[in-house]
Amino acid sequence: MRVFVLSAFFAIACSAAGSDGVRTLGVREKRIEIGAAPATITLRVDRASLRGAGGLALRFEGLSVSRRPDTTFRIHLGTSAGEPAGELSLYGVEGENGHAIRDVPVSAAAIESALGNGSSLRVVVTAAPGGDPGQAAFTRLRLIRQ
Amino acid sequence: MSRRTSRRQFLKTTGAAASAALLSNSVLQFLDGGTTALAAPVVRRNIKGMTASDPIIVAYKAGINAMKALPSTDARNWTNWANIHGVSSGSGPQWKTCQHGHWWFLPWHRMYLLFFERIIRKLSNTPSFTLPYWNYSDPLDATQAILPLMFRTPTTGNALYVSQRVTIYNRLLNPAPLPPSVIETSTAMGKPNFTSAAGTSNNFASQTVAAPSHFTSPHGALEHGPHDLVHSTIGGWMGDPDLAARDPIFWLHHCNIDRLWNAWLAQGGGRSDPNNLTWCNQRFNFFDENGAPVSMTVRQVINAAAQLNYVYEGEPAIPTQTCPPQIQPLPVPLTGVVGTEAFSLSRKTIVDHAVSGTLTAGRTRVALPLPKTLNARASTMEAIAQPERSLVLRIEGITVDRSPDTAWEVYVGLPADAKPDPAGPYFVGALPTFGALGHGAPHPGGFTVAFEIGAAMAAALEGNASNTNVTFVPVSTEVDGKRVSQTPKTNVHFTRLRVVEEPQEMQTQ
Repeated sequence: MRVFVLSAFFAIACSAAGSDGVRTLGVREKRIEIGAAPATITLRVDRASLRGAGGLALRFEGLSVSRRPDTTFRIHLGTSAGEPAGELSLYGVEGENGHAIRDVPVSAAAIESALGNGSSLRVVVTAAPGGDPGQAAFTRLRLIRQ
Repeated sequence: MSRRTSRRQFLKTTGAAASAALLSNSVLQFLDGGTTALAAPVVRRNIKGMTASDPIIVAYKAGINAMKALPSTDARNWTNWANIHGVSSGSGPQWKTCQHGHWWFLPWHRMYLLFFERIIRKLSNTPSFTLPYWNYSDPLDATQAILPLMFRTPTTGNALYVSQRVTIYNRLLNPAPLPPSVIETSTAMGKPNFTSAAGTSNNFASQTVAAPSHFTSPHGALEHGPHDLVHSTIGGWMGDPDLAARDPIFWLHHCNIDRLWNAWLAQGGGRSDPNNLTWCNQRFNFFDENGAPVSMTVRQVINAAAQLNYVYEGEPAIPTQTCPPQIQPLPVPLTGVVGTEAFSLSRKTIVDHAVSGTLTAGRTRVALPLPKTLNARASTMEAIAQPERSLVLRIEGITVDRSPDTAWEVYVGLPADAKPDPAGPYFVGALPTFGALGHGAPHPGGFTVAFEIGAAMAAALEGNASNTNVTFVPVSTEVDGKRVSQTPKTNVHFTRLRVVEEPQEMQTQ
């Protein structure tokens, strides 16, 4: 019963349009460091909410940089193998350090594939090889539709 | 029909024609001083196939070296010019004024490229010079994803080589191409809308905001990729906005971004620039090839071929973009004027009000007493009604000790109980303070910012008021459903409000 209630609350919360003009389909609030080591974040996603108009994106919020990366970060869904679903740049984050937002567009197909039959979306953030991955962090990750 | 109504009608029926004429005239004058007719557009070429001995590359290197040789007091000095984009410390004229994360990202960088190209053209003594672009996303030639050879050649004195870039992309032998996910353009080009509501990124060229901002987020599709991704991937100076423009490849990258703006428009399907006065009338300040301060509005750069006299190699015809005709003449003619320069005889001062004004985190309301005689008030109305004249509010003596990291919305005639609304009739523009930085000490007169206020004054006079006001409100954004102002890091002071009537042609200076 508790699980049901929580799930219902989660679905309602996640389907409501946010005040920032985007709809949140999944959210994880936790400070996550990104740098040389891959970071894995799991979002609970309401599958039904994936269908609808508008583009999907992973929204990295509260971005900050303590050592500027000389590279981008590849965003994989599900596993870290294969082609990335998107790419994250932190160009200009220092100009609004701690408050920066970056959206990485992702396809519904990629998300559905990563979800399989479940509702947990595993997001893996890895530094692209070649440059210094630096040290950065974000405080919230959302899957949004806009 | 009342006298007031007839004036309004007059404005509406004459403003469009006046502004259309002004647009074409001003841009022609801007480009060549108004002395000659425009020649056929010059072509910005693809760097693909160019060698180090290509006249364009030779001129580019010579121009860079010439900029580096200029004294540090010259705005065209290589470092000073890069500092316009960004710099981590210090202050100088127009430094750190690049626009990112919003709908002025593209036009600001178009202007920045334009004046850079003109400086290189002049200092290299190569009148035929045009900036080349780097099309790293060429679908027919994957080798174009490799940094062009002349930028990777670490020969002594090669002005195009920068050692700070990420090695695997910058090495002479066996360089890596930029990854496909970095240079992918289909996401951006597929967006049908130039902009979208504040807080969203589902657009081609970033979100709509009320006022310019050095950096804000989220970034739209084109700004995300390939723009940001290419910056970060090349790394080094390119990866840092405070240093990026010091890397010569910056200019070819942004030339390509500018080209993609045209290419996006050429796709049709309803794609167009914002038909919006706020966007069109925004003015930005730079320096020309002689080092003289210049400023342009966005409406002067929306048609590159017709207005700025350049096209990109091989591009199709770009649909003509338009801005809304103005009920009022073009705004903001004098932004960036330092000190209290002598007024032209053709200017007519209507209000001259010494004041000790301070802009803070709250609302600042300053009375603007209008002349008491009916004749003088009628003069104000006449200034509004004449399409060839502008009514301008000058905020003078602006000083600030450091960047407040925000701007103030400026309203004329805002009723005391009215909510500030940038879309409302009393809004005249946003007051940035970039230009005031560094000018307080060497220029005791401070900095002047000017706004065209005809429409707002007309709205204020609707109530037949003998006094009106100027209201300043820190720019706000919506966060979690609430309007939240950006708290200024320091207060800004000004000493005088002046309302002048002036000929429109002064706005092109």
